[in-house]
Amino acid sequence: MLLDHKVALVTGASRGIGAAIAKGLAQQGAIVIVNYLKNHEKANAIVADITASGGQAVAIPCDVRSDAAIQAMITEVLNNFGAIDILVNNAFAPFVFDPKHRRLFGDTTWADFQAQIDGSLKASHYLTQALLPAFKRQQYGRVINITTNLTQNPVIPYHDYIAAKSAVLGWTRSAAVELGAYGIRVNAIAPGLTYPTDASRTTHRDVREAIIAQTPTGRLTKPADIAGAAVFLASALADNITGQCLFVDGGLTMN
Amino acid sequence: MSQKNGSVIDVFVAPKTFAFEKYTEKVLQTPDGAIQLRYPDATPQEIVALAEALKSKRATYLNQLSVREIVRTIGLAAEKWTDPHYHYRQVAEKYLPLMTGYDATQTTLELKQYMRLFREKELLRFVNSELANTGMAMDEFQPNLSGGFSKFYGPDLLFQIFSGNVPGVQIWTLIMGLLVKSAIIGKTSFAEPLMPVLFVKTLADVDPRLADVLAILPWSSQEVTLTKTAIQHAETVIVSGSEQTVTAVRDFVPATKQLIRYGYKIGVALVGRIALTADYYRQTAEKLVSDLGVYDQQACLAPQSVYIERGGQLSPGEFASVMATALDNYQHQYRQATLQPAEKLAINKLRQNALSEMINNQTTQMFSSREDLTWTVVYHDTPDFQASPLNRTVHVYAVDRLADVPNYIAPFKPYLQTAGLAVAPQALMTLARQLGEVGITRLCALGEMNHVSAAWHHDGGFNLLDLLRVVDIEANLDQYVERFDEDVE
Repeated sequence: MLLDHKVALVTGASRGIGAAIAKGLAQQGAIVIVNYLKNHEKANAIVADITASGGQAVAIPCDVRSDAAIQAMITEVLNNFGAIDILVNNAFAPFVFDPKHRRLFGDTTWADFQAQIDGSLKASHYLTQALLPAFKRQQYGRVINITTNLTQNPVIPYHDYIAAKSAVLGWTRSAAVELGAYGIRVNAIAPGLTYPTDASRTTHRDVREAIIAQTPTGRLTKPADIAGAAVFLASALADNITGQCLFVDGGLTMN
Repeated sequence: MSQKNGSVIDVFVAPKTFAFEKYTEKVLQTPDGAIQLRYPDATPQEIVALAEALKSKRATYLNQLSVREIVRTIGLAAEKWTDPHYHYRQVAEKYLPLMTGYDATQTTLELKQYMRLFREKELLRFVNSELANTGMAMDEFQPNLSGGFSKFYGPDLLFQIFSGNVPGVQIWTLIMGLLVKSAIIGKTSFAEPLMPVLFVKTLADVDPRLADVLAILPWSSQEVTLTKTAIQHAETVIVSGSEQTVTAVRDFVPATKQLIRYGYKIGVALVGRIALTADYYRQTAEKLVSDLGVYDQQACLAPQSVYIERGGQLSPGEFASVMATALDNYQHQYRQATLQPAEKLAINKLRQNALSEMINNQTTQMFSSREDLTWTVVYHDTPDFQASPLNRTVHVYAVDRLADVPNYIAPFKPYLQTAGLAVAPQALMTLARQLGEVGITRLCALGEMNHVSAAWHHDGGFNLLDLLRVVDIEANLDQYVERFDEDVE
């Protein structure tokens, strides 16, 4: 399989896109650490799903906005599994995607931005940094950051969320430049509206239909679509790909 | 290049008028099919006759030429090799990778650079680095500082035993011999018997009479009688090769005969913290890797142990990891030559040793190609020195100060040769002095370890001067003969 003997850590993996990625990586042979914040039951259910299909997974809670918590989690995983080869930075701070009731620009505070930046950029940075010595020693590491296609075309202008995800994209590129020398690849996946997930539940039919109407493939993105891209970027198939952002949105975004 | 039946290659060259009685062939299996190498099945009597023929041609032609004329001829020959369409260059580019197993692109690139060392202006530099006025003292008696005159004489016949580790390496000593006006019998190795033959054929294109003082042919080192016969008839012997080859030949050369040996040598690289800044470290790693990659460290010039100074923006361990990635990338660009079983064994043994060292010492790290033996970096936190089994395999040591490195390599003085450096300009002279003291004879820029300059002193010796003997006309003789000038009153 594509990811035999690899250990993958997926943050925010108890549901939605994160859960689909965890399952996708496990299906290809990776041992998956299902990281979650508080949804213990859902995380365990994902682990159960994976093991039921013959995969290997464990659930580990950690608030990835905390540097100390990250260090503790990474130390624990490295002690138990010896290595982490793949890191998927999927978690982000709670955010309601509600086109009708979104926060307007004038109402968006710095605290809103900070919360989103802490949830995605800061978490990605500290997680990657915590893994860096191990990555350098093993001369191998795959970092996959989940951003959004809204950074290219903010169909719904979620200011704080989009700004934080844009920062992740810049971070992805500059990290890729420096870490390539150690055999580390850093890429991003920019999903379009992914349905159904908890986060997209409040994106109502009118918006969904409007997006579908513009989408070359004529449908919304499914969590499994993102998982497919993640498997690809995590595998040897993507060995010479770094600093890239793969848009998985049915062709809605073309660069 | 005479090629018969498509894949038969003549790997010998002799004066036009000289014919051997019997020829034989050796079949070389290559990825592109078998190649048959044709060469004389020479007898000791033929070697004697060859030696005499060469000496006589040398006396009537080469010895009459000025060094300047010889330089011009060799320069014209080298110039032909700068043309990508030149027939013999194309033959070399096709067959050398097949014969040696080296990467074809790399061989082409290296040959290109190498052959340019022998252009006229480079040769002038080369000669002048040892003998003033383009070696005029080899042409005529020249006034010397003690009031008399001196002239330099080269051997009438040089017997050269070539190594086959690096394509074209033989041409260097071949040209040295021509510059001192010697006829040459060159015994090639079957590992690379082609380049010197091609070059002599080029010389023949430019000046057939000059090429006629040269004979190149391979024979097995088991054919001791042939070797001894050649030694007996030569004035000077140059042997290049492994420690074993050089020692074996030494035993055949009588004390009255001059023997110049180019044997097993070791290179090291020293990387200062100044070359490990955020803007330089990648470049530094790539340069080092090209020193390791060119001809798979088979040239005596390549590094076997590398010293990395602590205190840079990257730790020596991190730098080893960057080096490892760069080695992996290098393999994508220029693949390693096919390894012989003994070479594989040596690398596997080194990897096993490294693994057991890692059990006892957590600071030791090994970076290596996962699926094969194409490259290996063993990182040690405590400095020492170890020779490498070559083929892109290297020991990396962390050191607190580069100034300490001479202590670690001093015990290997007889074998030390090149040091590739990436250091601060202020540190260069002091470090050079210390490295010279412990036996290093060549200091060069990191990334250039495999590329010698035209005026280098091979293993610390003189290229031309070591081949020459000097004849002096003392001042008193000059004055004395003046007495017999009948016109003087």
